[in-house]
Amino acid sequence: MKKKFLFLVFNFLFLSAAFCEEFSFDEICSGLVKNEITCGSFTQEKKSASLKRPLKSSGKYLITKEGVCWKTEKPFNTILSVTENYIVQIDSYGNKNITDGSSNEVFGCIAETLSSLFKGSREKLEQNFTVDFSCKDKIWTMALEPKDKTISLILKNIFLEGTAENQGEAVFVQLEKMKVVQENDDLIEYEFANQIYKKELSDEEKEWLSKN
Amino acid sequence: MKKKNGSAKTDFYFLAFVVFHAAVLCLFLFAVVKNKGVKLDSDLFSMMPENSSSKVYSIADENISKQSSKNIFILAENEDFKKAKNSAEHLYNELKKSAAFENLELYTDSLALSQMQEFLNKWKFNLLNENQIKVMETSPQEFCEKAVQKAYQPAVSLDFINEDPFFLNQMALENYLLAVEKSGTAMSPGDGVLRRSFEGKWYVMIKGELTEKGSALASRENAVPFIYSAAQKFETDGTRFVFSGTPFHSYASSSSASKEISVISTISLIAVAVILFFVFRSPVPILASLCSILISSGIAFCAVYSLFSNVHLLTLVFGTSLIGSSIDYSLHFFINWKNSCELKSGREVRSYLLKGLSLSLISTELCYVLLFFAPFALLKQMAVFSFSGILSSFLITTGIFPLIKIPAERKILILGKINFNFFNRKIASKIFAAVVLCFTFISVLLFGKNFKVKNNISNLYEMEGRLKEDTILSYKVLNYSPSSWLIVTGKSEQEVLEKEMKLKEKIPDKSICTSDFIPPVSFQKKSIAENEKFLPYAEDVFYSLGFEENDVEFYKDVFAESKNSFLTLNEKFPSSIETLLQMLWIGERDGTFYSIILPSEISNQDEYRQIAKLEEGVFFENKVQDISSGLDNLTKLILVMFGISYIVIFVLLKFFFTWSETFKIASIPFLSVCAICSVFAATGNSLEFFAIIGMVLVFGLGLDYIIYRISNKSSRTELFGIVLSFLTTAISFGSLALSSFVPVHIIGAAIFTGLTAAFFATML
Repeated sequence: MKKKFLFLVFNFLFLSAAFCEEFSFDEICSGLVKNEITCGSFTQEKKSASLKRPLKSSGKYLITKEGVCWKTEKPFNTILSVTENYIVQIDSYGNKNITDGSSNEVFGCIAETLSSLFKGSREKLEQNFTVDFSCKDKIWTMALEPKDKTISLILKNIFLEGTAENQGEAVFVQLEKMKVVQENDDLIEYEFANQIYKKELSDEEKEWLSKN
Repeated sequence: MKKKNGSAKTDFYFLAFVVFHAAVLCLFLFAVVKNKGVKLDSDLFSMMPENSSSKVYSIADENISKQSSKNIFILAENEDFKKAKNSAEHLYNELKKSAAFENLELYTDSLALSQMQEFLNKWKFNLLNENQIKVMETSPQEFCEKAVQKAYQPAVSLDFINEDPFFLNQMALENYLLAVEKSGTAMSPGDGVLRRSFEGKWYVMIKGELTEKGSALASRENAVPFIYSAAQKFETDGTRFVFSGTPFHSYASSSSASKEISVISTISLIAVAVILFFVFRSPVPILASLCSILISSGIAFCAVYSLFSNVHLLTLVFGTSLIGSSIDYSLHFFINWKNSCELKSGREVRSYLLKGLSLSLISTELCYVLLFFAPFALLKQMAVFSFSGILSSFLITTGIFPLIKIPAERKILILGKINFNFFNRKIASKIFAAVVLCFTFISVLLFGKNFKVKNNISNLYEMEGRLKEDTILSYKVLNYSPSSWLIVTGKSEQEVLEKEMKLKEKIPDKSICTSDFIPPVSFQKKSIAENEKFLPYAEDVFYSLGFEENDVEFYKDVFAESKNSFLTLNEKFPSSIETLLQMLWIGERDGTFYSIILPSEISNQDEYRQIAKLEEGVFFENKVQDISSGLDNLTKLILVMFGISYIVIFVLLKFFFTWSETFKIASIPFLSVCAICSVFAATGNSLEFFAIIGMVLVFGLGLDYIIYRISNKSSRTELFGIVLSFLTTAISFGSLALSSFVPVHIIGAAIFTGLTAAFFATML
């Protein structure tokens, strides 16, 4: 009886550990950028009190060390890339518009802040945002509030959500949802799926992130 | 009989004194009542000939100076942005306690952005630019699709989407921001403040505008010392404050210059008083000379004001020459009053001196009469000032001084101890003249390029110490220092705005003007018409974004309500734009409208001058250059006038003296001018306005010396009078050469050099 009780306690503790696996902020940060390049598909939903219905769009995304890129495919083809120093916008007519941080410090600041989201650097992230991190049942969340008062004139909060699990000695981290709350309470929600990881960008992808 | 004559003459000079002074005072009082007060004019443009452009420059300058003379910029510098911002916040809070600021800005607030968006939403149909209209005309489909795409973009506000499906508001905002970016400093909004990272350091800007009292010079309420002491408290932890703006320079130059000049003047006046006291052993001559200077200066001021209804500051600078002449008359009188026992009364002293004094008066006054006919208001003022001042001084010496009782003891002790014949004058005079001429010749050979009239007003103020460092650093960090602009004039507000738009296309550099924010109504109509053409497309855009038919109707109603409203200068603008417009739009003066196009840099001055030349009612102004060339013309004209005076005086002197004496007299001003030109050229300086003013003074005094000398050849007393006159003038004016305040230094150096040459040439 005593042995059976001990076995049950052991099993309970083991299962608890397995299901309530918790990860630190550092582990999530480094897990996010463990892969050179993460790509996948996204859906975006923009909600505003001024709209009758949310604006839905979808496409592919890229997260690299150089920056992140949203390639919207529906309802139209546009590209938005954010690097540390500049923002690239390509409209459906192929017109490329670069906003360079070196010539426009406000955009430089926005680009640097946004790209720090995907750099996986705790230091950079905490430099730009007040971070509220939690992790429970393999699900991690981060609530970010911009520290820069000029950025907070546009952006109120960013919420990130994803999963994490141990794979051998490494932690496998995925970003699954992102919610951006604008200063006027308009919401933009992203869902990420079909993530794959690769080592190199194709020429076309390089073009999306390029200034030229 | 003789006594009777003397008495009659005394009466005449006394009466002349009373009548002249009473007349000038009456005229002055009449002018004061008429003008409701006394005005001092310090506008440098008024020295230029009166024409339409000088009036335009003066109006534009008044507007820009009004803005810039009270603006201050303080940059908090630190390698760490947070520390820089923190120090800026501390200083801002400290400065806010002072009443010396009209306004003080550190934070870029959210209210400003929402204020701007509200304003632009109201005027969105009027504010399309040329490129946007072109895209709408050529590719309407593309324009609509881009509007839809914009709605999907993150960070694009949808607040006004139901009345602005094409995001015209955002486009207008971009146009405005672009214009502001072109006009302003290199600072950008960041973390709620204006900041810039430059060469590894962060700079956070505090911008302020001082009140009238806060920017008043020589006032205890001047804000600059308060700013310095407040900033000192927070210069800790690697933070340093960088100060720039006109109030800092005005404060530095006025306080240091006035301190320095008062120290120099006090010391030199004490020295002169000691010498005079040592010579006369009586306070009477000193007090009488001082009174003569004060009365003649006062009468000169009154005469100028009576005739011109204002007195220019430079007239007063020029008027210092009066002191020299006044002292001369007084000294010659009092030396004989004290020493010439054979002259029994003041009237006899005057009679004895009358020929020399009169010739000196005529020769000097003649110069000023000629100057009065110059086509510059400033030169006329200078002529009237000196003419009336010297006449007053002459009448005091001849009408009042003879009334002073002759002293009981009549001997100047030191005079008996001086030997004026310790060298052979004939040989010495030739050697001296040869030395001066050789020096001039060598200077012409070696420094020929400096023998020219050239003014540069920026050289008249030399920055020093930390303010100099701050100004240079601030210039680099802010990257903003407009010094030239185009002035646009027209008969109506709309004409000026239309001219601005037309000119903007030709301007080679980034620039800002009123029409960037308020296009002319004709252009606004074009923008509205284009939007009207787009009403049918709005339907597609609205439906793509999930809106319904009633939303489309609402939009059409909004457009119909706005299409007959036009943005004009009477509108209430967001505060940030209002501030810019105050500088750019001058407004209406005497039926003409004025505005300024302000380039952030001038790549080619000639191109701007050409643009202004080709357009009627458009003027290019480079303040520093224009004032400098105005001064060049003035300087040259003074030189020409004195050239003419020189010839006339030469002819006049021939009536009173022999040929040899006339040449001797005429050689003195010539040698003085040679000495001044050579010394200035050898020290790398061109002849400029203040040097010429010094030269004019020397011209008059030098002539006086030699006239007294030749009129009273054998008189040791007169010789001593000349020595004393030279000593007092050389000390009082020569000491000004020690000043670091450039104009004062130049006048002092010119006077000392010329006077020394004139004195030695006279004595030899």
